[in-house]
Amino acid sequence: MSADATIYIVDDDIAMRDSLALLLGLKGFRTQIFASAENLLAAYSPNWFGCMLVDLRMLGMDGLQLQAELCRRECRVPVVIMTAYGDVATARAALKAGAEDFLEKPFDDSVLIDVLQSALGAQAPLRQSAPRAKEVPQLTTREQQVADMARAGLQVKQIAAKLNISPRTVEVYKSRMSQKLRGLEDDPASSSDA
Amino acid sequence: MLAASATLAIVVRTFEPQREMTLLRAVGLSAVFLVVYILLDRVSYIHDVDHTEITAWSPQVAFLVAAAMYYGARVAPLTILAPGLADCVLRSGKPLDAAVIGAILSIGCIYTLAGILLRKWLRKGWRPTIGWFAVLSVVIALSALLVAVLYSAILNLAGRLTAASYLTAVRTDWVGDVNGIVILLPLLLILYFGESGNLRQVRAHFGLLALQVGALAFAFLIAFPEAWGAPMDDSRTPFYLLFLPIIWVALRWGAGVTAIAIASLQLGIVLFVAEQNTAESLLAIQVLMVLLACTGLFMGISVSETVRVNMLMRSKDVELSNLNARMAVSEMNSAIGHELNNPLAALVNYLRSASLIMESPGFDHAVLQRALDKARGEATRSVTVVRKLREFFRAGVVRRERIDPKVLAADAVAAVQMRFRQANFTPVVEVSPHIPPIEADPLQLVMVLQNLLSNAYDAVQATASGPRRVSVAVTHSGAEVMFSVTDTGAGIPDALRDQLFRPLTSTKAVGMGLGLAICRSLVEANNGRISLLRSGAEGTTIAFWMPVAVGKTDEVDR
Repeated sequence: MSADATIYIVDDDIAMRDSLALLLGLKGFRTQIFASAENLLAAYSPNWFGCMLVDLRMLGMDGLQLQAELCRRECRVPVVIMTAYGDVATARAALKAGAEDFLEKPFDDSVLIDVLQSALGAQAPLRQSAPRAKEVPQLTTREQQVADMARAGLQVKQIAAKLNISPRTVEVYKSRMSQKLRGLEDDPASSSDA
Repeated sequence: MLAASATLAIVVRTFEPQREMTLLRAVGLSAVFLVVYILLDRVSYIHDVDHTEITAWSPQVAFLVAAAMYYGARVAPLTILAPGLADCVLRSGKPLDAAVIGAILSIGCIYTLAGILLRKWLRKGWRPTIGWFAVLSVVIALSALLVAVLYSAILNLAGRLTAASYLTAVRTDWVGDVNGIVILLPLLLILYFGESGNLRQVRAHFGLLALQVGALAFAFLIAFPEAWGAPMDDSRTPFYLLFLPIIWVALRWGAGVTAIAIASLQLGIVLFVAEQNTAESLLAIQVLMVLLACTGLFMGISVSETVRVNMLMRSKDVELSNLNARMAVSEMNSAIGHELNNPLAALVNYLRSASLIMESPGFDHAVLQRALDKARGEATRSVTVVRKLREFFRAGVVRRERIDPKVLAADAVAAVQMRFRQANFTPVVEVSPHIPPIEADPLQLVMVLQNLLSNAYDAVQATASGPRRVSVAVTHSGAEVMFSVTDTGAGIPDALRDQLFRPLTSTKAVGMGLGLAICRSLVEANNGRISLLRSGAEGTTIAFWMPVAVGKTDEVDR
């Protein structure tokens, strides 16, 4: 991982953000914690680099609103949404609005690290190259895993058990993949680019 | 006859051809109509006034109104000409002059118009209402009066009816037509459109129905001693005895059965009483019959309406309580999510951090201690949340009421009806006679039954072939009432049977496996017990037993 990458953690639950900072710190990540979306926006600077770990439901501005505001400010830092509610519909909305990934609390630290690595990897080329205009949608590492297992004929519950995530999260990945692939069909130009 | 009806049918069809009706069907229907009309005209030909064919009972005209109501103006040629045709067939040999033809045509014209006027009440899903019956009565009374006055006047002008008999003819014609229509028309409509609910209940209460038939027959024999050869009372006072059984029937069953009872009474009068009476006293009986019919039908219709509204409100009630339950569950779900998942997630993070700290060479014990303290703090927080949740569930109050198991089963079936309808079948309800009331929280037990029915539905839907049947049975033995739900699904795997009512047990692709666990808690909270009665390749039966209510208290809070 890049040395200057920071994980920006936003959660209104004090134990949650404290424990995440401790864990990620021990894993060698640089972290910065915020008690609310408003606090993060107040501190925000366009030079930020790394990944945001944002709780979905917070007092005041919630995760989706924060994401929209960051989008408006043309922030390129990928956003990973966390939720304690296991709310598939909202998770879908978050992914649709451009969130990089989605984590259902409580989560295993290996899953968390996977997601963060893949989010940071997605951002790395952004820093060097110009904004990608039309690109073939890429599946994230976990989406790829889910796709492979689904192709092998595994059921949602089985995939969830293997990846150590909840069945609901698997559903969200599946729907997101089909969305990406549909986008591919809709736009012939992008597929010829490949 | 057939030729006449065919010609008429062609006229009818050309009159208004836009609605789809094949010629064959039109001819057939017209022929049937004419046959019925002529037969009724023949049967009701009793004691006519001065050989004018005016009688005190004219059921056939009800068919004129009914046909015009159902088919509208396009049937007019048939309904206008039917009385004339009947006359030609039945009273041939009599001179037919212009006056007679005009008089007969006027009957058809007026009743066709009355039918068209009443037509707008007949829509899909028609049900008798008080308003409708009031309008019907007024329209029928006025059109029958018009027919009576006009018909007799024309005959009088033509010299066929003496001035002395004019008033008698008008009176007889009026009463005969009103009687015929008021008794027969509602019966035809109610039978055709089917009055749900009450009519279906009749089968379950055969004993009561037999008692009512007996009462009606008894009152009939008292009211009409001439029917069994006894001397009759000219004052007709005993007739009023008939009001009692008719009111009984109306209050118990509503409009449908009342209409049938009144029509049977009228049939009895025609068969056993009419011939023994003079024209004058038959007229008096017919007037009384009109009064009886109106009273009975008004009451019956009003009872039917009340029953309908009650059923509607009860199903809305169940819907609402389902909605509330669903909202409570979803609220609970998100509360558990937030209150429990946050501390658990933090706990996992702290513990993982602690092991990472221990893995690092020469770690600081104080740092490890802090992480572990925080982990313990989060574990305590989770425990508090769980304790609060349990208190919340324990506080759920059981409301005790005396309930009729029949109603309970009906409510549960009503609640799942929509879901079953999508798959085109309905649950069969089998209730043994004489089920005593039970004492329980009706909403909770409806939830249990509903849950079992939904499971049964899922099981049946999951099987590709074979019979698809879901039934609810309510039986009674000793001090318990047993409710059982049976499906023709694939059965429950042996491995699952022992833990069937434990939480997180499920055979379904989706679902938490909480349904039967919740059912068990609800049944046990109401002092009942639940178990798997039978399960195999031919299907599954799950039953629960509730103690029969004791004492007379209607509501006991606990």
